[in-house]
Amino acid sequence: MTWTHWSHPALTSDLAVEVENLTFTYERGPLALQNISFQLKRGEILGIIGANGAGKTTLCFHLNGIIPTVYAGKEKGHVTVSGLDPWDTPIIRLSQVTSMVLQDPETQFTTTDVGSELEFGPANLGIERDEILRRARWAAEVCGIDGLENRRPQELSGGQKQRVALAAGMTMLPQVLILDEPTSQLDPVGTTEVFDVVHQLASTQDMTIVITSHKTDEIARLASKVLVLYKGEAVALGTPKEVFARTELLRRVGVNPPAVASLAIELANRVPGFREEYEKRGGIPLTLEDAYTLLSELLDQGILRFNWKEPSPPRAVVQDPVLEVENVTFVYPSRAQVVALQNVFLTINRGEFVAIIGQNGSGKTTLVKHFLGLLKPTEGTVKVEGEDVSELTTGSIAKSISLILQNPDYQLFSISVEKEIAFGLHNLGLSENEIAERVNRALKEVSLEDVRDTFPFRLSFGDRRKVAAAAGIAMNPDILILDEPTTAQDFLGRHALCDIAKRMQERGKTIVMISHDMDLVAEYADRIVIMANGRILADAPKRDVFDMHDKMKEAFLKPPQVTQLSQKLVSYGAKANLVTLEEMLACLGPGGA
Amino acid sequence: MAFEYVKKDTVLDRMNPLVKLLYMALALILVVQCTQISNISILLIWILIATVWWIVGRVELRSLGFLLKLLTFLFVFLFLVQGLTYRFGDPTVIIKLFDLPMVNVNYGELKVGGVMYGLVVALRVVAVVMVIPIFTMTSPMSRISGSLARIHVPQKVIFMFITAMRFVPLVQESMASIIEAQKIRGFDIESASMYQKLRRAYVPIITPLLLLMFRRAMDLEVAINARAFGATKNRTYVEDVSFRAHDYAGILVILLSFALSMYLLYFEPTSITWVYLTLIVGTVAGWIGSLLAGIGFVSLLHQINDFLLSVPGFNLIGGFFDQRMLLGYGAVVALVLILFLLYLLARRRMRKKKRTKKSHTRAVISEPSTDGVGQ
Repeated sequence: MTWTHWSHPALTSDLAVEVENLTFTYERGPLALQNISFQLKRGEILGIIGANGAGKTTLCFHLNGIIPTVYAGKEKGHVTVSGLDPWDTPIIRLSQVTSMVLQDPETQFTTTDVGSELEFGPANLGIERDEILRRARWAAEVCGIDGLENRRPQELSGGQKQRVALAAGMTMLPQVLILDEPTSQLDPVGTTEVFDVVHQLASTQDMTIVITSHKTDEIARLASKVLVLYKGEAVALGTPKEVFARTELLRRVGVNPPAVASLAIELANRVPGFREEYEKRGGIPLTLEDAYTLLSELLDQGILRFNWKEPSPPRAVVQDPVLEVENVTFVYPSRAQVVALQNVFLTINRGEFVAIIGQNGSGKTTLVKHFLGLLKPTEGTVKVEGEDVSELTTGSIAKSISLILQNPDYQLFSISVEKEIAFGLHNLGLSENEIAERVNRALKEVSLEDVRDTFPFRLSFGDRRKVAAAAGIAMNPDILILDEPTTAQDFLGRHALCDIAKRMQERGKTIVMISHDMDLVAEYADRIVIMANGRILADAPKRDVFDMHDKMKEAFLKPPQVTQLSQKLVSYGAKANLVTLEEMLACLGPGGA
Repeated sequence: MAFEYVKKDTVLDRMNPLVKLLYMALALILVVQCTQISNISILLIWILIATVWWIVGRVELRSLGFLLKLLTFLFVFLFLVQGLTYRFGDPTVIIKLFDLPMVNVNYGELKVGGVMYGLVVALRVVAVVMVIPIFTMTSPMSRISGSLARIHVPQKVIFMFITAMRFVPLVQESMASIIEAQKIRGFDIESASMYQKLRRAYVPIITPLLLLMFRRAMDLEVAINARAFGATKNRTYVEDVSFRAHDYAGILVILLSFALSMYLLYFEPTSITWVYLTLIVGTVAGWIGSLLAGIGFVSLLHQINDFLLSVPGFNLIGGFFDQRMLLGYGAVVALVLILFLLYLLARRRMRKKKRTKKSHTRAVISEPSTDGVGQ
């Protein structure tokens, strides 16, 4: 009998995943997991959250046999997935029961087009041709990628790629689906697309789903259980309402609870009787609608009062343009010509903090590359501090502008973190003393002093990004550009990067940030530029931008939860968009009663 | 990217990849046998046939240009080394670079026979290389793997092959991104000298590339393991790879052109393949030579030579200018060389030299002492 014709063992109960006292140490590595226990029934969605390095991926690898097949280590405890023990079952048989979708949609492509990608798994099992085609069609339909069968990976958007990976896993007809940060590189719409498919799979196909993510508001919306990991230990396990009510704990372990949950807890601490009110209504509010219903009822009853407090006005801008983009059009020179930028006008003044937001592929990174002369405009001019970029060498522009790239692996090559940071400084031709001093300061800024002698390749992805950031900051540029500070960074990491930027702004530097994390943009930027299809849709102070609903919609963006809430509270006296939790809390107080 | 499959729906697109593989194999066999200068015309005929395939398959000429550009360095090297060292064939000296007489050949003289032999070697390379895009740019991977499986190539070998093909564009893309990333850090590869480039400039580019590819390979291992790769020996291949009429037609065309080349190579009286060719080339070169002499170019060269030789000590440095008899080939080569040098000079003049950015006065808000990082 071959694996191919193996029938799944009859399930004695409807338990799909059972993990008992799991402890795991990587070979020559640290303790990765400690005493993890949980159970999942069929059709349940488990959301695993935690800071970078908490052990989320390691736990996922246990469920589909990547540990011990690909990565070795010492294990204690017990794991059962659909009645199989991953440590005793060949991965080939296990892969028919569980499927895993990895973080980077790019690396999991095993073939060169979507169609054969979907067929790859079942074809490996030697299944009949017609059955393979039937499965591929079904999976494509469920994941909404039908019609893309002939496309190559490069021709897909990030959201599409991730859904192809999802569909490719599904053609194995798994009972358990494991998703490791499937949305970390996706824009808000791509994220919602993936999460909606996940939800549909759980409810209609009775699939058990394990998903790790930093996007707690999506987890709160969809998961039936939430597991919080911290340094390999389970610090909380329960329903979303139970877990997200413990905001103190979550913050301590580096997890950002959904904004409305944090708001509710803060209010409960300040307003007597508030906690009882939401407990009466079935627990802490996790979605915008729940939060609005709760607040409006309490405001009506007089338990809460809304006192409008004007948020601090935006920083005054001095007319001193450092970046000027004039009527720039850019066409990618390839077989199929792609217009990446179309008649873009943009002026950024010294000392501004500008966020460029938009969908994947809207032209944000292309625009930024023009600032550094990496791309030459097909039409129009770009000026940096008054000088035409096309006449300058990229090397000399690097003295004024630092761009911190999304993927640090394109630049790290030195034997130690210290040398890596010094590389750019050597290129600037600084003295050895100056270099040593700047390296020390930059290391302190990103708090990586402990690993200064480590080979960067050995660090986690999040830390590698910090090294790349430190290398950029050490160049002491006039203009700092952050390309998507959220990629593979947890809550603390992305704030650390943005805080550095903020401090640089206070010293008179200009900051440009590319992001689709709306919370981050709302908190840090002063001015927001919305891009879609290579054009600038809107360019205004942040509070105004969040009112341009049709433009936001056109760019497939959503304002942050707090802002949406303040927009709903207009009738109670919210006069402008509130963008942070603090601003919202300042307006809400106990009622007169 | 350069050599990837793009769906075009030509006859070649629909043709079984095995047919194109056969074509590649025969090209290799033919080339191995063409070792003489007198085989030049057979190689030319073979290249002509390949060109027809390119046109039929609507393969972009650009990718041929890209290939030739990659190989230019090799070709120049071949012409030089063969020209200097080859001891058979036409001993007419084109240019005397220096004086290094060995047993029966002067290694300082670039000879016609040698350059011709260099040309043969170069054409052999071109004849094989030209066939590769016909295979890779008109065959989808799924069909290649399907048809390879049909001739019982083990699936691991097929997967290795496919992955290698897939990694080529990936390496190209990553390389471009890495160069960009290092430029941002003030690493000016454009302005580095050739020596600097060779000595250390490639470290910051090759190292991340290797590490990146290593990481990709690890991820790929996870991905294929999770999808039951190698579960069964009888893997299913979804693509239909049966032979059709056009496949047989293709095989016929390939075999016929191969047979023709073989016939010319072994049985044909040399008149077609060699005598006519030398006749044509010789006549054309003669015309150009007398034309150049007619407009006084040759005597001009003589005068330049005489002038340079009158500079004391110059004739000792290199024998290059010690050419009393610049006739025929020599004049043509000299003309081409001079035109090329002029072109290089003109291009350097035309290209706008990029300047370095002026260091800008720092922001008013920050004092010089707080100018650094982290204060």
